[in-house]
Amino acid sequence: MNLDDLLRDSLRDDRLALPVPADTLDVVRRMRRRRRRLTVATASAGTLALVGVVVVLAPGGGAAPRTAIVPGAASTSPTPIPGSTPAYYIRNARDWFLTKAQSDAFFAGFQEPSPKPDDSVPSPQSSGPLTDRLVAELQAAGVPGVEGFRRDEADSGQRGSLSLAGTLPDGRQLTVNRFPTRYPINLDGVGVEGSAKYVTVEDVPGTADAALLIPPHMPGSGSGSTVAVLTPEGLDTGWSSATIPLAQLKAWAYAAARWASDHPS
Amino acid sequence: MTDFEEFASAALPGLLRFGHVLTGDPLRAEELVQQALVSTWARWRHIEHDQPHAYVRRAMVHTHTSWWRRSRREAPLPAGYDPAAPETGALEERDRTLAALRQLPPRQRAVIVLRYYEDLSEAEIARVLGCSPGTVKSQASRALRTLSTLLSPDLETSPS
Repeated sequence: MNLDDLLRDSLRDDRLALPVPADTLDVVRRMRRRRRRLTVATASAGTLALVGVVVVLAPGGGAAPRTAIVPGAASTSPTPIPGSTPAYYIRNARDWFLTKAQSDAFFAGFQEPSPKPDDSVPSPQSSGPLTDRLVAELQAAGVPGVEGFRRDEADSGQRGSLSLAGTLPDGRQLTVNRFPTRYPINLDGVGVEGSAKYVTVEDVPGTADAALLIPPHMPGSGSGSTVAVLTPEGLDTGWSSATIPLAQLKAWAYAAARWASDHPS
Repeated sequence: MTDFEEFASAALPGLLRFGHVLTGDPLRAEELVQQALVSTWARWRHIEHDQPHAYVRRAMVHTHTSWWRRSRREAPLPAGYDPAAPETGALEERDRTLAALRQLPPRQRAVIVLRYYEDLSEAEIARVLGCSPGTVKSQASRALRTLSTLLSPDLETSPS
């Protein structure tokens, strides 16, 4: 069977058909009403944010626009988010995570930057030093069987986006992705609108990193768990598994982050 | 029932299937369809006489791409998935094909689904995705190249 036939045959598989839930239209009606209310609230929040920016800028009298989006411990060398003008500054790893109001204000002014043309490459790409480094971190954290994991340095066709995926000796599957994030993460839009009440953000002990913990069975995220560790520079390392408990993912992710912090490349 | 609700009721089975292929997860497919229908309803006056089917599919692709970009989380591969495993039957072959499809970036995946399931032309896919036919062509080319690599055992060992 050639590829065209294989795709046509697979995409017409009866198992892909889903039963139509009886309440779909009711759900859509409720979501529409909620979105209308949110639109009003967001407009108000955006106005407040704009006022805040003006207040911050006014005393500077022509100084470079500069807005901190999240309160946090001040860093001596804040990092501007690429492509954002006026610049938003990241002062610590937690600043990458925004509440809904902060996210609405940010994305009302700035679009997600598009990848550069050179960033798109065929995937998979053979592994190199970046992947070797990530493998070393997993091994230091005590993840078994990493040597046999599938490796890709251009996950989903994006240069510099690393992926390690494989099956542990006990049969459970683990995926670890690493990529430089280029825009803040809306805690209320992690996979599904309204996710803020399910996820947790905390500092990674012994490091300058912050972690986003996504529990299993969160609406919109399937049955698995995810732990995403962000460095202050925005390097995002996500640990995901359908069957490994969140506590185990967290233990590995934090141990790997501590090792990376103690052994800078 | 309003015009929009009649449209949504009739389109639901196809939209759910489209969402299932895009996300690889029945629950996410349902949420994706719901969100896309809310967006479509908000624009209904402007699109009801023009391309509501294209609009709702575009909303689904954009929403799914946004989810993917923000979270980088995908439905896990089916248990036992191994691209190098020998062919054991049509269902396994389809499973491997769908799992390989799930490894594509969302927009490449959408192009493949629109082309091979919806049987849309490049111009029609471009209208759904809001891009140029040239972009559709390059996305399809990349996607097929990746799929050829991932599925080479099936392509080599299956009778043509």
